[in-house]
This record gives sequence, structure tokens and C-alpha cells, in this order.
Amino acid sequence: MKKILIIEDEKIIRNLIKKKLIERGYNVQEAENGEVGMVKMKEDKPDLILLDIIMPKMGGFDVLREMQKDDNFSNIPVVIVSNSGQPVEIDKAKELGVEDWIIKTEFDPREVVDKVVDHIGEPDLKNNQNQ
Amino acid sequence: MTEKETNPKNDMVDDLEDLKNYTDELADFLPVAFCVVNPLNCILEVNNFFEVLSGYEKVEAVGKRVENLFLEREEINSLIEEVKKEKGKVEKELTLITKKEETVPVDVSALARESEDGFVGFFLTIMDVTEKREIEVKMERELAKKTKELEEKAKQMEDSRSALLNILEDVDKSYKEAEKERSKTAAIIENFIDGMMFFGADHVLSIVNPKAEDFFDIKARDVTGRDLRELSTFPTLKSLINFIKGDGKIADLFREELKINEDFYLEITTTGIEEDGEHLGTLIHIHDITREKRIEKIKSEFVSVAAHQLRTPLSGIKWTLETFLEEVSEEKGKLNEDEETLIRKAYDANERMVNLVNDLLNVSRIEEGRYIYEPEVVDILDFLNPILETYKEAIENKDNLSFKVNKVKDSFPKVKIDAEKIGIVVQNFLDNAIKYTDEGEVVLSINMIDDNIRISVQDEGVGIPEEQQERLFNKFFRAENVIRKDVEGSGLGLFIAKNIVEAHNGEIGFESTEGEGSIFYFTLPIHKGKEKGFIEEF
Repeated sequence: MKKILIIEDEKIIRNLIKKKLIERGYNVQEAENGEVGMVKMKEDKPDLILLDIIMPKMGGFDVLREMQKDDNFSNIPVVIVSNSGQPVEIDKAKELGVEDWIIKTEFDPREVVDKVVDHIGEPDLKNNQNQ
Repeated sequence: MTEKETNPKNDMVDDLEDLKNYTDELADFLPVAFCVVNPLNCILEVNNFFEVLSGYEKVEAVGKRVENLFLEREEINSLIEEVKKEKGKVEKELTLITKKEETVPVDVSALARESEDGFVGFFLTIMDVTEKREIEVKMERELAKKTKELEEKAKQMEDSRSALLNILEDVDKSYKEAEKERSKTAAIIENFIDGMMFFGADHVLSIVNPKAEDFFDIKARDVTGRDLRELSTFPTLKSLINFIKGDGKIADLFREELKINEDFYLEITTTGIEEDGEHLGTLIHIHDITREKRIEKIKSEFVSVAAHQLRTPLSGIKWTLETFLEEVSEEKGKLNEDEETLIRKAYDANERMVNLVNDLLNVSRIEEGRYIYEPEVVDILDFLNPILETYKEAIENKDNLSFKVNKVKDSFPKVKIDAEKIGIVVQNFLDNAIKYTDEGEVVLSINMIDDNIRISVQDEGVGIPEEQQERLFNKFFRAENVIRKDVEGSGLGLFIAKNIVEAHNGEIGFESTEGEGSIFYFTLPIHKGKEKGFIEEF
């Protein structure tokens, strides 16, 4: 079953995305900041990461930089889910291997799920059914 | 004769007779009136000239009392008295009365005659001095005239002298005043809080005040007397000189911003100085705006951060409501219609809040000068069609409103634009047209004007009051009639649109009549292949 890691400090957002993804059939891990996110990543390598930028303790860009250093993580697709979306930020993130960028106020949770599907395909429903 | 010779007495008489004749002839010949007077003042003898002068015949004159001949009785009497007493010669100026009772100015001389018996009378000569007097009077007059003239000349000279002195005094005074003014002006320039430089008509720098020295780290003595070309070789002055140097002369600048480096901004104004139509030179006024720029930056950053912070709860609300509504539609019966309407209203209000925050963010980016980002070459129709599709639906859903797209051609030259931003402009025009039109038609037209593509949106809406039209593109401006109408709006849309269009070297404008409708338009220069992208500087 495909695993998604959500690194997002805003609990409402995190829960909404989690709910939608689980409904769709994904396995979801969550982390409330970058630090926790890195730990969770190491415990169980995800198939895709949804990453916020501005977070306490460790922000999204720091997470990306850490991931770049580790061959094990540098290939995991990352979709940024942020309040901001300035072109300079997007460019900077792309240089750090980010696949896509979602501005929260311009999307809704359903569209986030659609993006996930675009990048890694539907969840492995068979596994899901077995579960 | 012989007889006479022989008779001495006869000889003597003859001699006397000769003498008398001689004296008579002499007297008659003399050009002066002459008479002989006895001690009783009676005339005994006169000569010819006396007759001519007085008009009296000899026979009339002889026996006349001499004092009756003159106007001045007292004078003649005193003269006679004097001659009798002194027995010598006495002279006086008197006036003779002629037989015709005319008066003649005369000089009178009397000479006493004496014999052994004493005083026997006197001779009197009377000389006509009419001419002499006339000459004298004339000369006196002439003299008086000349004297007067001389006096006048002297007075004139005196006047000129004092006038000259006055002038000199005035000149001295004006010189002192000018000197005072000059020092005052110099002191003002020296102590002026802003930088000042003055270039003469030949573009040679003549004045640099201390503040300008500070700004450019120069010394007046090193830079004055040099022209623009020479000055541009000074590393610290180069940017200023390039900034003010126009087409062969100093450009007209009004409060133009000159960035020296990240921490130093100046505002430059140039003023041509003219006197009686003659160009004397150009004054460069240099104002430090670093502090303003810093505050502006802090403000922009604040707005940017605040807007980001606002977005977080707004997206939380948005996502929650969205999910809520979705589930309501899935599980009917959980909420009744009124409840669903309320949630929908909350969602819409939140959306407006999101838009407002987005507008604020855009404005702060415009002010930071980093708004237009990625220009790309696009076909205007490919770019517009998806936007128009969305709006066609939205407009046709509104009662009494119709939408028409008016293309003069099937294809247009390509433009190089930041498509997302130009999209914002088109959407802003269409949003306004829909918002402020209750009934009628909205027409979007695309056409070509010279080397520009012109896109316009015409409505039949409320229009803009004439007196408020010039403020329409101001930040946060909303016309009174639309505020009354209570339609949502931040007053930022057209401000953002104007900045976007101008960053693309396009023009934005409108025509409007209150109560009849408006037409808003903007232009985009067509992309000419090789030409360097016109917004790459962003």
C-alpha cells in the first residue's frame, strides 16, 4: 500500500488531508513539524511527502535540504502544500527536487488528493482490501 | 600888414584876434560839447558840438544858466560849488536836457578859470556817453548773463558731482547688499540639508555643497570646474552622472530614484535656471531617501508576513467548510436547506477574505518591485479562451446579463507576457463588469492598434462619477456609487491591474459615463522575436 507522509503544523489541515487520503485508500503518516517528519521518514520510508514550508522547529526548506543529503530520501517525490506561493520560493523548491506546489487557499483537500494520484498513481487497492 | 608890423599895439590886437580864431576853430573842431561859464553860472560861449548835442543855437545858449541844462540839479550845483572851491578839475556823470526836452546821459567836466583877480568862471565839457552807457549796460547785461550761465554751469556741475557721489554711494550700497545676499545664499547652500550641485550652461560643475560631498565621497575642490565627461571618471560620481546625463545635456528629472547600493537611495531633481530667457545652468537637488525606502520595505514585508499569517487560518476555514459541504451533499438529511445556505455563505465570505489577502500580497509585491516574474511568448487567443469560457458560464448564469466576445481577427501576433498576471487583469475587468452591471451586455473585444494588441471590456453598468475618474487607479480607491451599492471589493484590483499592464510596457485606461456604463481597455506590445524581452528587468 502506498504510503504518504504529511508534514504540516496546522492540525486542521493535516487532519483533513489525512481523512481524504485514507478515504481514497492510502496509508498515511503524519508529522507536526520537520523534525518529527525526518524521524518518521527514517522509520518508514514514504512513497510521497506532502510538505508545508513554514513550520516551527524545522521548516520545509530544511527538510528538503536534509533529504537531498541522503540518497535514500533524495528520490522521494515531494509536493509542497503551503500558504505562500511566490515564484522565487517555487523556483528554490524545484532546485531541491520538489515535484509540485499547492497553495492552500487556492485548492481544496480533494484537489490535494488528485495531485497525489497524478504523481504516484492510485493506491494499491488490492493491498488495501487485504488489510 | 606893414602898418600892423610897425604898430605893436595893432600887432597885439591881431595876435589876439588870431588866437581867438584859433581857439574858436579848435573848440568847434573838438568832438565834445564845450561851453564857457561865468562866475554867475551863465553861459558865455559854446562850440558847435554843444549846439548839436543840446539842440540850442549859440544865441539861445549864451546867457542860459548852466544848471538848467541838467536833470540832476543838486549834482550840478555841487559840481559848480566844488569847482569854485577847489579851483581845479571836477567830473560828474549827469543827464543833459536838450531843447526838445530829451535826456542824454553825459560825462561832465568842469575846469576853473582864474586870473589875477581870482576865480573868473569855468569851462564845461559835456560828452555824450549814450553809446558808452549802452555798451556798458549791454556789457553789464552780458556779464550778468554770462555770470548767470557760469553760475548755472557751476550749479549743474555741483549737481552732477553730488549725483555722481550718490550713484557711487548707491553702487557701494548695492554691492554690499549683493555681497550680503551672496553670502546668505552661500550659507544656505552650504548648510542645506539636501545635496546641491550646480552645473553652468557649459555643463561644467561650479557648486557642490558639503552634503553632496558627503553623498558621493568627493571634495568640491577636486570636482568643480570639470564637465560631465570628466566627472564620469570619478567612481563615486559615475552613477549620478549617468543618471542625469540626457541627450547631450542634463535631463529633466523630478524626484527620480537613484539606487547607489542596497543601503543607499537618493532622489534626484534637476531644475534649469533661466534669467531673461537665457539658460544659466542646471541645479541638481539630491535628497536622501534611504530611510523612506527602508520603511517602505519594512511595511511591505509586514504586509507580506501578515498576509501569509492570515492565509493559514483562512485555508483552515476554507478546507473545513469545503469538506463539511461535501459530506452534507453525500449524506443528505444531516443539514436542512437553511443550514446549508448558511455554511455556503460562510464559505463565500471566507473566499472573499482570501481574495482580499491575495490582493494585499500582490500589492506588497508590486511595491517591492518583484511582481512580474516569468514572461513567456504566448498566443493571446490560446491564453484568453479558458478565461472566457469560465466567465461565459458565470455571466449567463446571471439573469438579464449577456456576454459577447468580439474578435476582429482569427489570429493575432504573439505577445511576451507573464500570463498569470495578465490573466489577473482580464479577470479584474470582467469581474468589475459583472459586479457593477445589473442588466445588459458585457462585451470583450480583441483588436490591433499599430504594434499593440488591445483588449477591452465594455459594460452597461453603473459607470464612474466623472469627478472620481482620475482616482480610479489609486490604491484602495472605490467610487462612491459602488460603495453605496454595497458590492464587495477591496479597491486594489485596478491598482494591481495598472501595475501589471505598465510593467508590460502597455497602456491601461477607460471611458465611463455614470449610469450608462464603462469601457476598460489595456494594450500589450506585440513580441518581435529577436528583440530583448521588455520585462526581463523584473
